[in-house]
Amino acid sequence: MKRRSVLMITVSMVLLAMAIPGFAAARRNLPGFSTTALPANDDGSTGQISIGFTINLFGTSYSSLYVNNNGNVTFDASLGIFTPFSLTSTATKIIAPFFADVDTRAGNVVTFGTSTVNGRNAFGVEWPGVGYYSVHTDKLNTFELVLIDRSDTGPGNFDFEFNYDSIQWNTGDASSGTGGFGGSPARVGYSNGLTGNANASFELPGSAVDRAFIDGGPNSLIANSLNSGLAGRYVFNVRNGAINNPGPSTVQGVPTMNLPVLAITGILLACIAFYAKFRTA
Amino acid sequence: MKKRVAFLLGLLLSCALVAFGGPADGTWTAVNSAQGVPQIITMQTSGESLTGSADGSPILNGKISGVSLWFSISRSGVVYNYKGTISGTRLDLHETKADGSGHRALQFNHN
Repeated sequence: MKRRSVLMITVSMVLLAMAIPGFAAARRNLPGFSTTALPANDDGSTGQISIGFTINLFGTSYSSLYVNNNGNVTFDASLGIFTPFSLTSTATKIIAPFFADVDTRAGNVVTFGTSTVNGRNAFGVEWPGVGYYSVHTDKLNTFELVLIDRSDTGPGNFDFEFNYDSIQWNTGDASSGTGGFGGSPARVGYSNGLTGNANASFELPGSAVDRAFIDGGPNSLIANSLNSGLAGRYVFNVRNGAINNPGPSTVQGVPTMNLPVLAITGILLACIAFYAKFRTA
Repeated sequence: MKKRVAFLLGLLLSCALVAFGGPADGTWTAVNSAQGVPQIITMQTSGESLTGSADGSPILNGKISGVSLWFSISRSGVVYNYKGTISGTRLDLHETKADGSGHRALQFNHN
């Protein structure tokens, strides 16, 4: 009987442990990523910010970038554009975890800085519960961009991650949005800023589609993933300057566990186990 | 003869450039006349640069990208920020003070 009890308790613990990853926050939110703040602004940007290591992005080496308030980073100049343009036909070299009209004149501001991820140098930008134009904080988005040094696999190699904890709005007022929706909605992806055969770009399915990326939406950013088993995490590997270009079909819906059901099941099993143990005692 | 043809082609090109300027170029008149709202905005674009005036106050830090534009003006010592989009002959602008307060949505028609 004791063995059965131990088995049941173990099963309960495993079920509970399984339930947790599906609900774990995708953001790394490391303290180093909040070292420096971009002061409250609308459409603002930093100057050139050191990444802390050198990356080879589309054949050009960069050791710095511009953090733009509107959910993106650029490499050759800052970007104040607030209505998201198509990432597949732009002349701007850009990495955009959530290109939309972020307004931090109220609520939280954007932060950035360096840290380490799995022992590797990393640069992170946090958009921690940010509102939208004009000065709206009734809905907030929480997401993160992380660049991770992978020079251990080759000079300039790196990974970048888009990590999402919560997406509640997708359009600012000046992009014809109302209440955070409608108009010209957010886009997610990257571009090398070139055209024709030289173009290397990607937009996540759901880009420019109203309410697609929102929590519970058809392309919910927190419920899906790319090259990751963690819901809300999208990983891109950059090797020899080229991003292993993901097709839309590679974006995976991560099965999320039903935490309440699993928790109740676990508790019930634990109770049965203790009852059985009590009876035999 | 060749010089005359080149001159005429140049003249035609110049006329075309004037006739088909950027979507923001020209004079925009406010649809409604609320107090303190710019009534006449005149804009000229050159690449991503946007210049001009709003009721005589010069446009500051003006930029345009596609149909999206943004600029500031200083009125009575207060800086107002504007941003918005052009849709055909209609200009939708949003006005706020630097701290985001005083938000107003404004509409203009192209003259």
